[in-house]
Amino acid sequence: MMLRARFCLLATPFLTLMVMATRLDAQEPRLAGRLPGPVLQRIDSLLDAARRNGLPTEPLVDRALEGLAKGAAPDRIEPAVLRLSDELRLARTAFGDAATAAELMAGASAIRAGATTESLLRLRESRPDQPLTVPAGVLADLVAAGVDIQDGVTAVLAIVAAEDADYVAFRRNVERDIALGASPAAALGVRLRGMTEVLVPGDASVGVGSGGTRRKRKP
Amino acid sequence: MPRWVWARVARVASGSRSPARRVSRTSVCTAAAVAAVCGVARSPVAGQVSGSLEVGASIIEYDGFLVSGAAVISPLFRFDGPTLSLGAQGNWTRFESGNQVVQGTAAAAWLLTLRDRWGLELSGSTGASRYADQPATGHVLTRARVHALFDYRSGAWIAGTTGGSVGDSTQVPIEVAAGAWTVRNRLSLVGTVGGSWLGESRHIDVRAAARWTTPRWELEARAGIRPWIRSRGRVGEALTGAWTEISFLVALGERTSLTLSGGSYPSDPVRRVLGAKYVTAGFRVIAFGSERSPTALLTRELRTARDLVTELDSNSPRIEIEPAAVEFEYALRVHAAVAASVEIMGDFTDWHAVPLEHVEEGIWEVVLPLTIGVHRLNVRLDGGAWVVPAGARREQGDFGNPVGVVVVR
Repeated sequence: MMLRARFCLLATPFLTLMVMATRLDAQEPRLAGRLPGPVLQRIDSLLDAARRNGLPTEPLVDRALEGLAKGAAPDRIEPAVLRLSDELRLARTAFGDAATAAELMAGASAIRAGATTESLLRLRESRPDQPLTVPAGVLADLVAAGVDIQDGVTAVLAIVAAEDADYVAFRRNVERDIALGASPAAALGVRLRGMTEVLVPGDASVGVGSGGTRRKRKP
Repeated sequence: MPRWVWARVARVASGSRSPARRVSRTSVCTAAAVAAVCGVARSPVAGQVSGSLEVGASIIEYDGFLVSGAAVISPLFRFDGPTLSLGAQGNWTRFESGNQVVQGTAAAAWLLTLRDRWGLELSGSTGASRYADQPATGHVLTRARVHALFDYRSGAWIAGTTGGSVGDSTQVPIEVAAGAWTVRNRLSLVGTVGGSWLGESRHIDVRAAARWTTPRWELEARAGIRPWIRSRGRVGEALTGAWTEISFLVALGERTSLTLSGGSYPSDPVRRVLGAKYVTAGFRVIAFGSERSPTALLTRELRTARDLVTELDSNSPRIEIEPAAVEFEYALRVHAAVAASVEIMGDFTDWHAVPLEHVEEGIWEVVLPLTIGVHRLNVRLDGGAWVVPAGARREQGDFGNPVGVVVVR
């Protein structure tokens, strides 16, 4: 009995230190001291929740760092982190538990651009064993360029067999056509036809090497 | 000196065809308002109000862009008091591509007689415009101009203008100018020399205008040269060169007129106007009041429209990301025509600014470790505003300013 009491006496401070250390570990060091205590606590809670749910925390920290770098008020940073956390969670719902952090970020970006969980789910189902980072990113780019979200999803799914490089070339060509005055729907249709025509075995020449030369466009 | 003389002084000095007919470089509506002040002498009724609607079509080629058609609808409202004038103008422009511009400008001008042969003209204007889904731009400018009369038919002036020019960031412009004018029967001649400073962008213009007026029609020719500039060479900034414009206005009836104009005009960094060549035709209906249409109205609308396109392309660094020699490292290359320094920040730098190295003419580079996937970034030139470089998707950020998004694969 005496021995147990002595052990407890010795162990208590040690355990307290352990708990404190764990607590300090939980804080994101890059944010510590740069945000007011209560805001930092709530963001730490969001990070903890993300870890528990298997979501990547690095993008959340990055979002807070972006806010700090841009001089945003703390009360704008916390909602931004929360919003991204929600978007990552939706992307994970669509892409599944096995999705990588890069895929989830691309999915979150597509959701921010207007894609729905359902459209991302269809993308996952169409490419069950291939990375979704580039297709999801291209989908977001197309929507941002003015392509209707449903048309964008249809197009991305239509070339689901394409390589990442093909997706990038496809997106680049559509954006260029739009910049030159074509309507988003027309640009998408023309480039989609081009893609599906050349997407045959042995032909990997889809728009590759189109370069980044700046060209004139209509206002 | 009688008031009608001062009316003519400001009208002619502004290069105005008649009240509000010719738009000075200082401001579309400032000129209209100033000219309106001057028009009091012609107007039998002090405190006259006028309003009109103009509809027209143009073919225009802005610097660095393809030729495009455009349709313009523009309402105009003016109040002309004994010494104070107010003007407001809105316009909606739709380009061939479907892109649209919405713009509004308001101005006021006050003309004082200091001594018999001296006068002071104070004016202010503010304007804002928005092109497609791009952020709005605008300006707030004030101008003081001192006039001296040689006789009733000729004079000279000096002017200073400052305020704020708002785009990605707010800059304070300074413009100084001097001019001389003369009127001989139906012919008016104006010559000006002016310098403009806006941050790194500076230029000097020499201009001349001649106008022939009859009761039925007016013909105006304008020409100028920009012999010297200093700028980063971005789209929308000043370029050396020469320009000429011709405008023709013919009255169809008491309340209707037809306007035709064409030629070229230079860029104006202060008001974010991009230079262009154009041909335009318009039809104006006077809703109330009696003023005819300013011939160059449609041109002005399109100039304003170009403010926004200029804004769109003025931040024209372009980024390319390519794998570097070392695995997991990437070369981030920014093309910037003229810049003393280029920095980048993004999630891959924990949003710390990282300077790029000048590797060759117009190209800046830094090699950084990047993970495959989506990255967010911003770029800035010469310590200016953080912008989204071409080559990155523009996303409206959570913190008020746009952020670039790229996918690294």
